[in-house]
Amino acid sequence: MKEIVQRFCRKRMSVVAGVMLILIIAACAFAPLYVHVDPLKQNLFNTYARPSAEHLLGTDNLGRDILVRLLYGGRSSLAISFSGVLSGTAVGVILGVIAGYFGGIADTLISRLIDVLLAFPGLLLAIVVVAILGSGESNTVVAIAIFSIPTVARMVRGEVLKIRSADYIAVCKVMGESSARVIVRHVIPNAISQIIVNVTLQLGTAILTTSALSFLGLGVQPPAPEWGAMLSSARDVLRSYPLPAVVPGIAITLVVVCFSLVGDGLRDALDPRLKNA
Amino acid sequence: MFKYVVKRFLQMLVMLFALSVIVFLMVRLIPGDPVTMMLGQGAGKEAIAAERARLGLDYPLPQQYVMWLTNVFHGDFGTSITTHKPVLTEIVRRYPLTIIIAVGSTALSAVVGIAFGIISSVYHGKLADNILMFVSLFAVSTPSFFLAILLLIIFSVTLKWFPSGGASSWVGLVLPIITLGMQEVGYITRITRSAMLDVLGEDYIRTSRARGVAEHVVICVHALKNAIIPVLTSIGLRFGSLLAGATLVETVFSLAGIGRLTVDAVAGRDYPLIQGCVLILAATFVIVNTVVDVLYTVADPRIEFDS
Repeated sequence: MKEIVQRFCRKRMSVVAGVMLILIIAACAFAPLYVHVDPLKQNLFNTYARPSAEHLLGTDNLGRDILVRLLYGGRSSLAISFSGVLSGTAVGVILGVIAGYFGGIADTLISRLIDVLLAFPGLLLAIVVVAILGSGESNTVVAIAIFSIPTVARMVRGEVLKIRSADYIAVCKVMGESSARVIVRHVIPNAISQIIVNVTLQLGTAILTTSALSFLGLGVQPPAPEWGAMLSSARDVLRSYPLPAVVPGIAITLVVVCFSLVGDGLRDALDPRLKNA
Repeated sequence: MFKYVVKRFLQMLVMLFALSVIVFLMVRLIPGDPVTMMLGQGAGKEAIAAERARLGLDYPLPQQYVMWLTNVFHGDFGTSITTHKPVLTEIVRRYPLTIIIAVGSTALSAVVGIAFGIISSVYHGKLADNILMFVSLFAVSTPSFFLAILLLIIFSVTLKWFPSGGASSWVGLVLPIITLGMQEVGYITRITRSAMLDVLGEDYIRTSRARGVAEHVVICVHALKNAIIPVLTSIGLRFGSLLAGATLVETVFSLAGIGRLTVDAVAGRDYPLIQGCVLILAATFVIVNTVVDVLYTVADPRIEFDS
């Protein structure tokens, strides 16, 4: 463990990104504890206010504080992405383990399912899910989860196939360990570093997908603050006052860059063999 | 090899079949009665009964599927609920614009991305490499709708070089193509860089250099020839996602492409239109990927066919 931390800390960029990410997540997550302004509170006498001591990033078209909305919006974007990716990863790991460990019909069925999910290019899969379930926060989580299942399942399946043929797994079986025990004690721990790296990288993609869905009007619905939705509603006044659009855009980009750098750093730290792969 | 190509195309047909089943089931998966959902709560009993009969909802599912697929093969994707025009007409009208944007950004990103990738690999670990890696990291991390808005603010609102929306002439397509292409530039730079780095470490490159071949010939001819095949394959495999990714760009620049059509259909619960758009987009993706895959194996004789 100490070695892993040391290896991670050797990549300066990843450390900086990691610290920034923790600060951003904490700032958003604990926003209700220290921000005492309602993100939905309008003040039609104070629209498009320039940044000032009272409103650090100014106000939007309805006189709502942009910084407060940014923090609450981040809460929403991050919460959706985390719950989506984590639940998608859980399902993906289970499917991948079943396919890789047991093989046979289970493998064929699951592999075909992965293929079909991957046949919907990029954003289209998320759009299809929303088309079936409808828009809204919880359905966006489902869309993100389904979006992240195929990549995880395929990766875990590959890892399990590699591990399954290792000698020590054969030894465990000869010694009479049950399949469940072999999977939980030996197979998953071997794949865990890959899974962690994958979750980190997918969180970045999930932020992009969540905000894209909301931007298109298919995700979180206004007036609820969400980074993509904020950008979308700021489009109408782009000509006269671009700040409300630029602020959430920078936030999304920054968070995605950070997740990507942390993911790269984790990959190198957890598995030195994968360097530059 | 012929056997491989045939096998690959058979796999493609299976995929297309699976896709059609999913797209067919989409409407049946909607919670609640699909017809009421499609026609709205206020629809009369007779209208609902008529729509049920038209969709064949009273038949068993497999039979419904066969009916639906037969219609699709005859070019009948149903009628749009919102515009009352045949779905196929809508798609044919809006698809070409999206294809133009996707092809344009693929071409742009291929030229820029491969050039960046080569430069990055030649100056591996040096300043130029670090700068380009940083640029490509931001290129893939910036949401395309945000980049589109930034370009709009700079080039359309401030400098007034380009119109802010619509595709009345090719000028209106410049910013959308750049926006969609930028993200690709990031990916292709990375892929080209790592493919070039693999090749540049090989013995035959050292031999060429030892023989006194000029450095630019070693890089642009000897090395690139072997590195380019996986790069071109990745570019081809990403084309389908560009078609779907164009949705966001079309939204910002008010372009009437198929992506915007799909989103409007979802927002308006126009299920026949959603089915048509999703089926066409996913089918294009699957077909393009199969063709690219087959071309890849044809182009590189070292690849084994039995896997």
